[in-house]
Order: sequence, then structure tokens, then C-alpha cells
Amino acid sequence: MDQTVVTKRSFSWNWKLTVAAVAVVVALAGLWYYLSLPSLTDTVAFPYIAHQKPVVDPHLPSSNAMADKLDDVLFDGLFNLTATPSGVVFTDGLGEFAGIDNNIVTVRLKSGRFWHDSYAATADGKKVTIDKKTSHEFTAKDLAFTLKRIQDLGSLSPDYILLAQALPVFEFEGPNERNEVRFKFRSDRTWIESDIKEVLSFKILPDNASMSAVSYNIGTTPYMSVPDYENTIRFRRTPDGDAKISAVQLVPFVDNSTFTTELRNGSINVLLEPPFGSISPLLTEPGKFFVKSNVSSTFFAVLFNTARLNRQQRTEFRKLLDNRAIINRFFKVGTGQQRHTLDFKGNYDRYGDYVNDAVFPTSSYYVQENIVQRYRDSTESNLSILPDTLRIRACVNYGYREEYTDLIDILNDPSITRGRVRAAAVQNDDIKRGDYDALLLAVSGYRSNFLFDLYNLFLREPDLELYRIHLLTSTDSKGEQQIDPASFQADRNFFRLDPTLNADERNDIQALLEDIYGFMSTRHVGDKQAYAQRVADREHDMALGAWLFSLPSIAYFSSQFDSSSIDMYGVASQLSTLKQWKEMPKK
Amino acid sequence: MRMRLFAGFVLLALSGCATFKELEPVPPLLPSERGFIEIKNVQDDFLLQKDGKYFMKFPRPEDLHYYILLETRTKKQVGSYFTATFNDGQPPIVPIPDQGPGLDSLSIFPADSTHPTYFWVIDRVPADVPLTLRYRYVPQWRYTVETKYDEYRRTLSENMVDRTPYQSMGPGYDFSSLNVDAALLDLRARNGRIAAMNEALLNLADVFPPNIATSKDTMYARYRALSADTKDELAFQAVYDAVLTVLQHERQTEGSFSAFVDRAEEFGKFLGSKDQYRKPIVDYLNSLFVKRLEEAAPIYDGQIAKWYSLSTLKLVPNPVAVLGLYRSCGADVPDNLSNELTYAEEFNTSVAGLQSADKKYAAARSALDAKKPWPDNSYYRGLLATLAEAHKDIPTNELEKIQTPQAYGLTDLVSRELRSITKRIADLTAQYAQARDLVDKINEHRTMDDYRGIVQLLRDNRDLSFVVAEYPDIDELMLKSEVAQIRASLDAGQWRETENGLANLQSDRDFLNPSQIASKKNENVKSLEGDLFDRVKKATTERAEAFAAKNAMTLGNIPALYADSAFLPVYVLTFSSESQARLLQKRRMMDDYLNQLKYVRFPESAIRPLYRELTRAPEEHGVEEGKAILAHARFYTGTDKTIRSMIDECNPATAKQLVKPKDYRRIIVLPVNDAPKSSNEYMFRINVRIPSDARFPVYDIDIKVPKEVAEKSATAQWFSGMTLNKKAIKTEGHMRITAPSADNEYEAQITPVQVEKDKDNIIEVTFKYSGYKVLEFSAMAQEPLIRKN
Repeated sequence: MDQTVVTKRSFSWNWKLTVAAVAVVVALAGLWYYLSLPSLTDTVAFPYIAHQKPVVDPHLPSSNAMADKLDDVLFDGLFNLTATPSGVVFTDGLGEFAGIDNNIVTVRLKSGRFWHDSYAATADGKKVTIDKKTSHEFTAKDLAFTLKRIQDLGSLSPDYILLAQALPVFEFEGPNERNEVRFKFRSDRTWIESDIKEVLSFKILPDNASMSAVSYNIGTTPYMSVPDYENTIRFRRTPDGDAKISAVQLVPFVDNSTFTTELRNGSINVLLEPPFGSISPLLTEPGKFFVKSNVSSTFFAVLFNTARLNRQQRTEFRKLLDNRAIINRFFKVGTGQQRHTLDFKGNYDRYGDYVNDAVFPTSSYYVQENIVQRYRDSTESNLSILPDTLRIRACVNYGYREEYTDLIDILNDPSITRGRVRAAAVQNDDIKRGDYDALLLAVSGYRSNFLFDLYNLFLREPDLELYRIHLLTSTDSKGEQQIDPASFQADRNFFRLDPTLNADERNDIQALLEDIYGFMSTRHVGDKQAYAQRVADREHDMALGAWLFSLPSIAYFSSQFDSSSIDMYGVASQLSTLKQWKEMPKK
Repeated sequence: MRMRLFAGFVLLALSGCATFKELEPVPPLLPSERGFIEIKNVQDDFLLQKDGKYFMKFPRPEDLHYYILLETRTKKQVGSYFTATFNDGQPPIVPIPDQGPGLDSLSIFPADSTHPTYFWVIDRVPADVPLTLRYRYVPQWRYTVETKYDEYRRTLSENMVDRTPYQSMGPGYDFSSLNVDAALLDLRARNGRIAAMNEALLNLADVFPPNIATSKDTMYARYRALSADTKDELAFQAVYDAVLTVLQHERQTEGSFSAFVDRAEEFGKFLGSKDQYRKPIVDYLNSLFVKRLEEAAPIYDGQIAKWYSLSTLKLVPNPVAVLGLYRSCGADVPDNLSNELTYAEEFNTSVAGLQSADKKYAAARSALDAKKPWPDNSYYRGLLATLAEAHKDIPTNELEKIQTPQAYGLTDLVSRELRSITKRIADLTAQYAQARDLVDKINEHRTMDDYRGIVQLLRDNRDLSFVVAEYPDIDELMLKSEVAQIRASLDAGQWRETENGLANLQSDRDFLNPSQIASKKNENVKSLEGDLFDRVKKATTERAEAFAAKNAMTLGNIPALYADSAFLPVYVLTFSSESQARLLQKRRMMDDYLNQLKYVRFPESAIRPLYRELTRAPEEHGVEEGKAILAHARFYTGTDKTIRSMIDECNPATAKQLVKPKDYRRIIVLPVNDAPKSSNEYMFRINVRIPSDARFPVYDIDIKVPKEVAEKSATAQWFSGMTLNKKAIKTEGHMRITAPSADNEYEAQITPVQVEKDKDNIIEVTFKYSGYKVLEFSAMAQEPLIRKN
């Protein structure tokens, strides 16, 4: 009897023990899971598309937005453009403004600023050790090398345009015993300190660098590049660096579809370009994240293949693509899933502000300042002129997969494109072959300031794997540089523009090319404006594309960071103040 | 002790230094006149040693003119000299010459009592030699006579002339047979030698002692006898020489009366000393001379007959010599000769009178050609006196009284000349009397500077051409006087009177020689005319420029200034000596000048200070100054860039150039309305034309707005209109006009201003402001910077 009792009793105890054991196991599993999450303490972690490693060149624009942002992580200028709560300012970088006298600008070069190759970084798994080795100090030779490189790049480099406004020759005198160099500025303006610093804010490379390297990673900032770890691109604070946070890393992901989740999950703690540029419903937990916005730097456009569509067809095609309807669908305006936006002025859901009606985005200086008008044609597209099917292609493997996918659906929607469009995702090779009537393309990293890049749009070779500008110039009888018409070759641009193959539009194609070159190569504001008008007008007449809309630019941050330490303003790089970022104190 | 030793050494050294050794004869030498005496060193001769040097002292003679004779065989063997001064051979050495240099053993040295001692110095002894020596003191005359007497006596006897020919000359003597020339030649040769000897004898007398004449010295007696013989022979030779000479001279003149007469004085002199010669000789020569004088009359007769001249008749040979020789010969002058000589004398007297009268007449007459300028009243009176004297000098005609048929023509010539000179003097006297009266009147006019009156007198007396000629400058003076009157008018600024004077002078023919003075007169007219023009121009200029200077800073009613008569000529010229065209040209020059002053310089001289004042203190009458500048500008036709620039600066309608980037340019803005209102209108324009290599230049235009205009811009737009190339500029699109405020130091920026390259781009700004004043803006353009931000 007692045994039975004992048995019952045992069963009862066994059940209880089992439940307790399971509970313990579950608790331990939860603890293990929690503890096994990546630790981002004292680290800034951004996501990137794994097969799109950023190629960093501080003097050339890049199709990869992250690549341009990294310029500020690695490189200093004599002066650095930095965002502040009140706007942008130029802070001392490798130089210190000493004064201007009779257009002679004196800059004292900072001493004790060392190139990153002054340190040896060794990695042991995740662990990185940085030791000092032979000091490689910044000198005037590096400055001279950089000026030479910018001059050689010419109109390909925005820095060339900035510098050309000030320097008749890209040279300087010095340094003297006080390590001062003297620039002879042009005498056609009153140079104020902020303008001087702006002109001299180009990033500086070491003179032992190659003039034409694919990528540059030796700079002078507090963050130096260290070996990758499992495709994580890593930067560490240098032993002498004064950054608040010791590590910066780019964490690889297949595409941007999981970026939001990864941020929420803590795999990353900063998301500079969330999908759709919109506020994510996943990141709305109060106290966990905060958001900051700035000016758009990516737009979507449908670029027409001039080899397949004549001008009349392109004109009607453009009419067919109602960008206002598309953007509303894109942001699901008026639906329960509406994607909300925040612009850099603090306005929410101003979708109309992102609609582009010209080759120059609405956010750009040229449209904002009414240099270029917004072309709006609300007439119905004459479908009879169009082919039965307009094949729009897109390659979703180089970023913006989420946005491309949605847009392809939208373009295939007969209610949007009246059943005449067949949009599809294709491989890069299809793009390279020009196998499309039109190409849906995300143009990222554009600048809304004077230095909007038309080469990126018109002369980029149609290979999304690479970023290559097909610019051919020659010297005329007066010794002046001029654009070579051969810069437009059908297989060297998205539009398949080629004056030799398109007799009907040869003159316009050539004129467009000259205007593009005029715009890109001039150092005069007036010429910039005039050529901008010409390019916009001519492009509109030629109907080379439908310019759809720009993506809002916001950035999400983990509340790990002190929001007040992170400034973003206007066109300043999102990472211009990275070294000032700091974490919230532990509670 | 040491001093003594030293003195001894010195003496020894000094004695050792003596070069010449004195030879001291014993017995010593005596200077009295004696024969030769041997010189001994006691008993012996002195011995001269080779290379030794010696001297011997000789005491001075007792009197002057002595010889010291030294006789020695060693004369030629040693070198010696005799001197009155000797200092151990030290210079100066003055040797006394040896008077017997050719003598082998005798030396003759002159000496006298004036030197204390004489020295015979032997300075060269080639070999040791004993000195055998004798001496003698002897007076020089004695020594001479002793040595020369025989020679002199021989000379005299050899040169005495044979007196026989002379003594035999007389009646019956054939003078023609005497070879006068040879006799004279011989005589003079002999006479020369004796005369030389006589000269030596006479010289010797100079060295005789004073008391010699009373002495009975034999040698002296011989001397005297020789002298007397010599004188006698010389006296004869002189007489004989004179006779022979006259004979020779007479013979030399045979065939030439003139040559004969040339010797007349010599011959007369010989005859005058006839007592020195033998009478037969004198008689012979006297008759010979009379005979020769008969040649005179025919010679003179021929000369008078040939003479036909009113110059002095000079008979040759000289009649005075002829008459003199007649007198020396004691012969009477023949009548015919006497008549001829009287005629010649009378003729020459007449000729002298005529010549004197003629000379005075000529002197007076020369006044006709002298053209003495402006003679005083005494001038012709003096000439008349000269003529009176000339008249007195006219001789009476005595020649006709002398019967000289052969001189009839000459006499007639003199008579005619006498009549002629008389008449000429009378005629000239009459002319000079007339001239005297005329000159008196002229001088009277001259005291009153009445040159025109003088000219009139001269014109009335043109027949007195010589008087007229004395006033060659009368036309010039008259012209000068006329010119002076005109110039006085000119100096007094009597333009019309000056011009009338010029016209009268131009047509004036009342000159003595109008054609001659014409060019000078015309020059003066032209010069005065030029001066008149210059003066009128100067007066016009001064008046106009004074007016311009006075009104440079005038602010009100500027147009009235330009209508002022100060810009007209002080006198409008009506006369030109050249042509009407020239007159018009001058008027045009005057007008051109005035126009230049009126429309260029005056506005320039006004605009400059007005602008200076305007910019210095715009708040002090700045508007008035600016408006005045613009008022002047309406008349200004000049091209001075600075002036144009000043005008442009004040002219609201003129766009102010902006041609350089970044440089601020001041803009003076005046109210547009002419009179102050409650709200005054202002306007300014800017022309942006800055060279640029941009194809489509764009600029920021910064305009500094005066605070008083800008300070209300916060509540109301400070400008009422702003255009670029007549298109309104508004703050729309990318165009922005920044309001001027204290924050931006009241600077309005218009940006971006798109301009047309290389063309005018006029920005016009109009605004209203309650104040009526000069406002200062400034503007600058520069290209906007391409920025990252």
C-alpha cells in the first residue's frame, strides 16, 4: 500500500520535476540565446549588401552610397565639412587656416597627423590588435600629390570643379618653417574664410598611394581599416585617434530586405538607408531607436533605350509612366500599410516633394532654385504610337531589392501602365547587352548641391557590377579640353545613345553630350545653371527617361547612441560627425 | 788731455787735407818795376815733384796797367794758371789769360794794384822737374812800346803817299790823265794800315801813367815822335783823298745832269772848304762846276713846256741845289733859268691856292654825300664858313704876267680853273644857305616830334636832295610815331580807335618814300593788327575766364551763366589788312576759343570742384552741386574722360560701370525731382560688364544701401522698382533680393544675376525717400561660388 502511494507520490513528483526541468532548460536556452546575440557595445555597425563591397575613392562619385559615406570615415581634408545642430561648418582637418592676404591663402599644415599605415593591424578571429609601426606623418607632399590627382581627374571629380574656382594652377608654395603653405587664389572674388575652407575641403591621400587605385583605404581619420572578419568590413579607432567609439563595421547581408529586422534584432545598430526610405513600423518601439533625416540621395528612374524607341515613342512612354501614381502606390498612400516618410525639414509624408519631373531631381539645387523647371505633362499617352509591349527591365542584385520588387509590380499593374508594360527583374548581363526597352534604375548617392553628377547618369557604362564612366576628351586648337563625341557609344551608356547609330537624333545627341560636358566641367555658376537648363530642356525634348521619384533619406539609430552626439544636416555626409558619436551612458 | 789730443788730430787731419803746396821764394818777390829777377828757394830752384800741386804768391803791382812776366823753361812741361783768387784749387777758379800764349817760355799776365795778391798755380806736374823761373813787374805801355816801336815805324814809312802828284796839280795839269780811281785805291789802302797803327798808338795813351808827359822817359819820347809823324801823314792823305774823291764823283756824273746836281751839295761843300786845298785845284773844279750848271736851263724849259696839270710842278733836278751850287761857285744865274724858275714857283703857288680852295670846297661839298643824319642848326653854317675860307684861298692870277711862251697852255689852264672854282663855291654856298634855312625849320618840328611836318618840309624841298638824304629814317620815324599813337589806343583798350588808326595807317601815302616804307608799314600794320587781335582775345579771355572762375562754384541757374555776355568777344573785329576771309577767320578763332571755354573748359572747371565738393561733403549742398554738374553737363561738349566720368557719376540715367569683380564701386545718387517733395524720387543704374571666361556669367550683386534708406526695409520694400535690362527683378524662382539690414550692414544682395556676356547689363533701381539729399550707395559684383552645401 504504501509503495502504491509512494508510486503515486513518485509520479506526482516526477511530473513536477519534469516541468521544472523543462522550465530550467527553456530558461537556460533563453539565456544562451540572449548571451549568444552579437555584442555591439562601443561599436557602430551598418549593414551592406554582401556582394557590393564599397569601393572607396574620395575624389570620385560612387554608385554605392555607402562608399561615398566612407570617405568621411577614412579621409580628412585640410578642412572637413561637418554637420552641426545649426548647419554645416568647416572644421580644421589636416590644415589650419592662417589667413589671406591679397588673395594669398596661407594654411598651416597640422603636424602629428599620421597616416593609417603608421599602424599595424592584426586580426585573430574577431580580435584585432593594433600596434604602432614606423610613423608616416602627413606632409605637404601628400597635399601636392592629392592636388595633382584631382587635376588629372578633371571634370570627373567634383573636387576639381571646386578647386578650379579658386586656383588657376593646382599648386602651392611652401611649406615654410612654420609648416605653412600658400595658395595663390584667383582675384575675381572676395574670399571669405568659409569659402576658402570649402574649396580646400577635398580629401587628402598619401603621396605613396597610386594615382589610379581601385580603392583607397589609407587615410588620417581616427578610424583605420582593419582586416575583414567573415565579410564584416571593419574599422578600428587608431591608437592616437580621438573618436568616442572604438569600432565601426559594415555587416554583410544578402539584400536590404532584412535590414530593418537586423537593426531591430541588434545585428546592426545604425541603418542609414532603410528600405523605401520610409519609417519602419518595426522600429517604432519607444526608447529603442531614434531616427534622423537628411536630403535625398537616391532616385528611381526609367531610362529609355534610344536604340529601340524613337523620340515620339519615348515621349508617349514617358507620359504613360505617371510618377505621381507610381509614388503613391510605392508608398501605399491611403492604405493601411502606408509607408510614412520624414524629410530633412521634419515634415512627414510630403510624397509630392519626392516626385521628379526632370533629369535633375526635385531635391536638387537646380530644381529647388528654379534653374530647371519641372516638366509636367498631364496629357494622356498616345498608346497607338507605342509598341504593344514595353519591356522594362531591372536588376535587383545591386541594392534596393525591396524597392525594385515593389516597383516592378507597380509597373506591371495595368491600372498604372495601361497594360502596355512588362517589367521584370533580369541579370546584369541583360542590362549590359541593352536587352530592354527601358531600364528601371536606382541612381544612388546623387548630390543635391551644385555638383549633381550627370556623368553618373549619362556616361556610366551599363554594367552594374562596376562603376565606370566612359568619358573621352580631346584638346582643341586653342588648347582647351573638349568632349569627344565618341563618349556616347551605344554599349557604353544606359540609354544606348550613339550619334553614329542614330542619324535622326545625331545633332541632339551630340549637343546633349556637349551640354553635359559643359555642365560638368565648368567652374562658373552661371555656366552650371545655363548648362543645367540646356541639359534638362534637351533631355526633356529627347525624352530619354521618366524620372519617377527620389527616396527619402532617413537613418535609424539604436538608442545605444546618444542622439545629441549625432548630427546630420542638409547635404553633409551622414557620417561626417562619426568620430563624435558616443553611446548613452550605462544606466 | 783728451781734448788736446783730439784738437791735435783735427789739425793734423786738416793739414793733411791741403792739396796745393805753396812755393815761398827766398828772397821774397818784389813788385817794383825792374828787369827779370830769378826766383829761388834760397840758392836753389824749387823742385816740382811728379803729381805735386803748387802755388806761388805774387804781390800786387805798384800801379794800374802792369804786366807780371814769368819766364820759365817748364812753361810747356807743367800745367799752370795765373789768378787773382785762389782757395786751394776750390772753385771758382778765374784764370787770368796769358797775353803771350804762343811764347814757349814767357807768360804775360796783366795785373794791377786793385788785387792784394796774385797766384801762380801749378796744378799738373807730369814728372819731377826743377823750376827755373824769372819774374818781372813792368807797366804795360812800356812793355808795348819796347816790343812794338820798330814795327810801327816800319809801317809808317812803308805806307806814306807820294805827295808829288798833288803838288803838281794846277794850270797846265792834265787832270784827265790822272787815274783817279787807282790813286784813290792805293791811297785808301795805305791810309787804312796807318790808321790802324795810329789807333793802337792812341789806345796806348790810355795806359800812360798820369805824370808821363813831364817825364823824360826815353821810351815815351820815341812814342811821341812816332805819333806826330803818323798824324802828319794821315792829314795829307785826308786832303788828297778829298780832292781825288771830288774828281772821281764829277767824272762819274758826266752825261747825267741830275746825277751831277745830286752831288751839288758835296761839290758846294768842297768849294766851301777851298782853303784846305791848293788853289789851282779849287779853281779848276769851280770852273768845271759852272760849266756843268749850264745844262739846267734847257732841261727845266723842257719840263715846263711839257707840264699841263694843276698839280705842283716839281722841276728835276732840284733847282734849289742848282742855285746853291751857282752860289758856291760864285757865279750868276742866267736870266732864262731865272725866268723859268720864277714861273715854276708862281705856278706852284697858284696850284697850292687852288688846291687849298678846292680842298675846302671839296670838304664842304662832301657834305652833299655825307648824309649827316639829322644835322643840327650849326651844321650848314659851318659848311658855309668853310666855303668862305675856300673862296679866300683862291689865288690871283699872276702867271700871265710872266713871259713864258712855252707855258701858255699851262697858264690858260690855271686861269680856267680859277674861274671854275670861284663859280662852284658860289653855287654851293647858295645851296647850303637854303639847306641851312630848311634844317632850322626841321629841327623846330623835331622838338615837337612832328615827323609828319618834317616829311612835308622835305617833300617841299625835294630839290635839296642832299638834305632829304640826311633824313633817311624820317619815314620810319613818322611810321613809328603813327604806330605809337595806334599802340597807345591799343594799350588803352580803345579797340575801335585802334582799328581806325590801323585802317588809316594802312592807306596812308604821305610818306617821303611811300613805296620804300610800304613793307615796313605793312609789317607794322600786321603786327598791330595781330596785337589788336591778341589783346581783344586776351581781354575777351580774361573777362570770360574771370567769369568762369567766379562762377565755377555757382549752384543756381546754371543755364543763365552760359547765356552771359562774358562769353562774347569784348569787341567784334571789323578790319583786316589782308582780306575779309582773314577777318572772318579771326572772328572764328575768337568764337572757337570762346566756345572752347564756354562749352569745354568752363564746364570742366566747374564740374571738377563741384564734384570734389560733392564727394567731400555730400551733405553740404550736395544735391545742388550734383544738379549743377548735370546742368553744366548739358552744355559740355568736351571729351575729357574724367569729366565725363564725373557727370556720369551724377547722372542717374547713366549706368555706373561694374567692370571688375569684387571691387565695390561708389554710386552717388541724386534725387530725380528738381525740387524737394515730401517723397522724393531717386534712381540709379548699374551696368554689369565684367570680363569673364564664363559663357553664361552670373553674379551676386551686392548693393550697400544707405542706412537711412535701408533701415525701414524690414517693414516695407526699400526700393520701388528694380530691373535688369528693363525686366523686373523680383524675389522669386532662384532670384533672391536680400533685404538690407543692420545684420548684413545694410547690404542688399541680388543673386543670381544672369548677365549677357560682353554686353551691357543694366540694373536700374528706383526708390523713394523723404529726404532731399545726396545718397551714397556702393555696389559690387562677383561670381557666386559653387559650393558643396
